[in-house]
Amino acid sequence: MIDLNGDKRWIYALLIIAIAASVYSHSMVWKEFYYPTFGNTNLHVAFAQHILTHGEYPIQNDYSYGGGIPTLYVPGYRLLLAGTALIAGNMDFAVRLLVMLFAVLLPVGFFLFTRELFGDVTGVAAAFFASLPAELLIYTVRPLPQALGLALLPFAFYAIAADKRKAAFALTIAIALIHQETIAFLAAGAFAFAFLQALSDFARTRKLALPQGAAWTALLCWALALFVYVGWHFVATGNANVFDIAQFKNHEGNIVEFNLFLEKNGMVLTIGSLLGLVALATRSITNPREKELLLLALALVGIAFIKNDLVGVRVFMDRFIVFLQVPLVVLTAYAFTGICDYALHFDWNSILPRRSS
Amino acid sequence: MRFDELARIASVVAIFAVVAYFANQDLESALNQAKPWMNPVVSQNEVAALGWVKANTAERTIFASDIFGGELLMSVLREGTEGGDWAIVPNVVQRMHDMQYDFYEANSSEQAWRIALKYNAEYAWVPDRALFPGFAWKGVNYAIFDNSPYFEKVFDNGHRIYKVKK
Repeated sequence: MIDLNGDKRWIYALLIIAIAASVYSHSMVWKEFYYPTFGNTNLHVAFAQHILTHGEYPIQNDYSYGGGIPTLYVPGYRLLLAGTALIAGNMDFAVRLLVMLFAVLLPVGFFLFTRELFGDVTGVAAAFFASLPAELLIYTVRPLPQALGLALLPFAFYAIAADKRKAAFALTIAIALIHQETIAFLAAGAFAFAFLQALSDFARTRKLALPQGAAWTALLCWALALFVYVGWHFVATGNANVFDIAQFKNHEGNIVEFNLFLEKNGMVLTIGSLLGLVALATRSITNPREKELLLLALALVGIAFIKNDLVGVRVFMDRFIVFLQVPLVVLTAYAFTGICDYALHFDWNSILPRRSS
Repeated sequence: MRFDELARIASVVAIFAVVAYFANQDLESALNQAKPWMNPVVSQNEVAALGWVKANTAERTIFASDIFGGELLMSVLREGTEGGDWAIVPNVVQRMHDMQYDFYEANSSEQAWRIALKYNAEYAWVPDRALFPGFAWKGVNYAIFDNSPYFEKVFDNGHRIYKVKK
């Protein structure tokens, strides 16, 4: 029988197949005469072109809606696009090439994050499950900052879970400068993890204390995310009110109900993640493990974000489904390998009728 | 092979089969949901018109446009009256309303001309596709722009560009 846990070659072979599946699903970006335009893709192209043409970032003069206003958008993706176009020699090619980069990064990131929590086999299962949810594909097959942010998010959570502090800080800064909603999810998830860990420590020791290890790294990432993003907002606009934007004033976004949730997640992720969440929550109540609390925190934050209408915020509810999918993919992989493991270790002889003597 | 070994293998194969069946459906659904987002919306003639734009207008020239037209123009460092990031644009909803109802759906050429002047547009971007200025998808009403004392056609390959007369 194949020993997946003992022989890493099988794991890496399966990971390569998962990457190929992701590249296949993202390859639709090459099919039209022009790259996708939904989601302001050309606004980012404009900034990349401006950087290449003028050697500067036009922070006080956006191209949006007739220009003349400061640019609120963080510059990370635009700088990467400008660099890619410079090397590729063609903006259209560069734009689509970045989508291929996202396609490769996604399964690798999910593999690393999930492996850190549950081992190789669950990690490789997550790499496959990452190709299933519609929303994750929709938001990573278009050349957008959000796609890059989503592709980096599992790497950031891996770095936090593994307590690789320098990598976690670097990824937090990068994501803060790439996409606003992505850093909001990362920051909220990191804070919730630190809070759950502190709560767990308090339940065990009956003493209030700052979290240690990965949870402390997470708390620092939260602070760093706030500092970098609010700092950018202040430099761009001259004020620190990050909520004074049209999306909040006009309550952009749609309410997430079960049918939409199922449509965007699919059957496997919906049922699998529910099973995984119940199993993980049950285990975490009786025997909380630090890394699993991170996953639980991400799931809770994701659910709170998609249902923010319940507390009157009513912004981006459906647009947060894709961020919730990060923990859902991991939970589905956890449930899948858990069920397989149960079947492999079940005493099937016990279901046979006993022989009469 | 013993019964328990056979049962273990069979049960795992069954789990894989069930998950693979539903995973295949989910993947098909994901691909079908993602495909419409690949639609570039802009037309081939419209993209070809960018050559004229680059040759005949300065950077940051403003075109009266819908959202997708404006964003296409940005890709060559020109600007549309609409398109891009609306996060901190003052009176952005009013601007969308103006472009939807008083420019592309104007009752008269003069009404459209006044909106173009209001937003400092030097040209009108009139594509050979459905327009989306912010509220609804609409077809182009060429009567607003043709044979008008307020607009002069300067480019036409199916997609049209009109100069806004001062």
